[in-house]
Amino acid sequence: MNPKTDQSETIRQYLLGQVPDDQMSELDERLVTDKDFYEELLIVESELIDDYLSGELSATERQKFETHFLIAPERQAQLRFARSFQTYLEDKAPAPDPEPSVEPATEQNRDVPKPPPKPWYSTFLPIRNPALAYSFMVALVLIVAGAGWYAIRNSSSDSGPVYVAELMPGGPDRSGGKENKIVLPPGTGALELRLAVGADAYQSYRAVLVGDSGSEVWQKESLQSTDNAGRRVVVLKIPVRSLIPGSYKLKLSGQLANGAFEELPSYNFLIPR
Amino acid sequence: MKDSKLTPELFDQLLDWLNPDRGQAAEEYENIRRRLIKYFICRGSTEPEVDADKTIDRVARKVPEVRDTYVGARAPYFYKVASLIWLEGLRPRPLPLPPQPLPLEDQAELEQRHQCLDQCMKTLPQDSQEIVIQYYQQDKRAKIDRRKLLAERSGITLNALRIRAFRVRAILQECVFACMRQHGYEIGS
Repeated sequence: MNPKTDQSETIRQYLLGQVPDDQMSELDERLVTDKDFYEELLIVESELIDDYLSGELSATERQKFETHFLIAPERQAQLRFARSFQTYLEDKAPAPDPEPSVEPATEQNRDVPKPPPKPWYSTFLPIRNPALAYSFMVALVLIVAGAGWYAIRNSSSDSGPVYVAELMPGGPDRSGGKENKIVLPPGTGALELRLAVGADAYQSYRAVLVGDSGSEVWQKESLQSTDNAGRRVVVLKIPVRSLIPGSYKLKLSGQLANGAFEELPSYNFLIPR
Repeated sequence: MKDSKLTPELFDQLLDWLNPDRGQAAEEYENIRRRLIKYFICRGSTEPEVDADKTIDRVARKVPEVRDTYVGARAPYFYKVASLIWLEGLRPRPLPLPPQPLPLEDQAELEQRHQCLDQCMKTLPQDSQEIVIQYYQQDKRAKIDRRKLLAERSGITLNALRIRAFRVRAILQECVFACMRQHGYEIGS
């Protein structure tokens, strides 16, 4: 039993308001009187926020997080910071692994000839025959090019090509049937979604993208509908850094003249692994 | 008893009671105040800073009575007063709220926060940048292995790395909050 781990778990339950009253008072007192406990609480707070954002909380924990933990404006500010920080980290290249340790020369391996260097494509294409490998790669490029249509635009906020997809409202959802699958080609900078909407009865639209765990991953307000070949569509561009493989629900609401928002049918799609 | 603003004399006596060394007293005052705020946040107070200041004011008024007889650490005394203030403010427990979506922030605020984060990262020393980036990257599969490797390379335990990474993150967060306030955004209120 690791006392450190037990303490962290106890603090986690305390933060979620899930400890009995008698234990609560003891923890309250430690929080004020014990500086190491206080720091541990701050660390567990940040870990709880990260777990919420990455969808790692159970349904009960998530409910407690949203109704108890997040009440304080200070914690809402911490959540916003953590979300921006995660986005920032996703933009960074993964940390390189340290240099592998070199096996010292021994009697057994000193005269063993080194294997020939592997071809450059061998990392992702384990085909030995070069002719076959190159044919396969040409075919792969043609398939990717034909899989969806691929617009290259200059964008002030999202560098990289934009992948465009059109979604209909209230389509297949995750409870049954096929979901709209969107396969993003490597290097895509943003996903442009064109959402078919009805007759233009709203001043503007608000879109909120919700991930697998129910957490909000992206949102945009003040969207306008435009005409697209005789149909009204709302166009929005989601940076790919906000999208990880999984199921998504895009909630759309329309703003009425009195300022209130009216919920509209949502749009479901899947980014496959 | 209605709480009112502390006089400079009472505040002086409070600092003196915390520690005869004025520099250390100021630090202890700030530490206690921070912890009191956190206590009230954890207890669901809607005004944690006000409640913390109320606690401090009440303790300060008691110092002339207790300073000759009170022995031991000061923080437990602050806690007892804080818990009384909490109980005094207790209302009948409301029904649990349904999950509330976080209030939406506009794109401008989001962009500003990203800019502040960029700026603040650049103010960190190189090794701190490296630690905080490597420790908090969210690739689930490699996260645990990467942290172990990072701890080994740094010659510290995994828990020491956890604490160190958090301290850098806390500095970064404060910097971002300060930057956002400079650009007119309110944080945590």
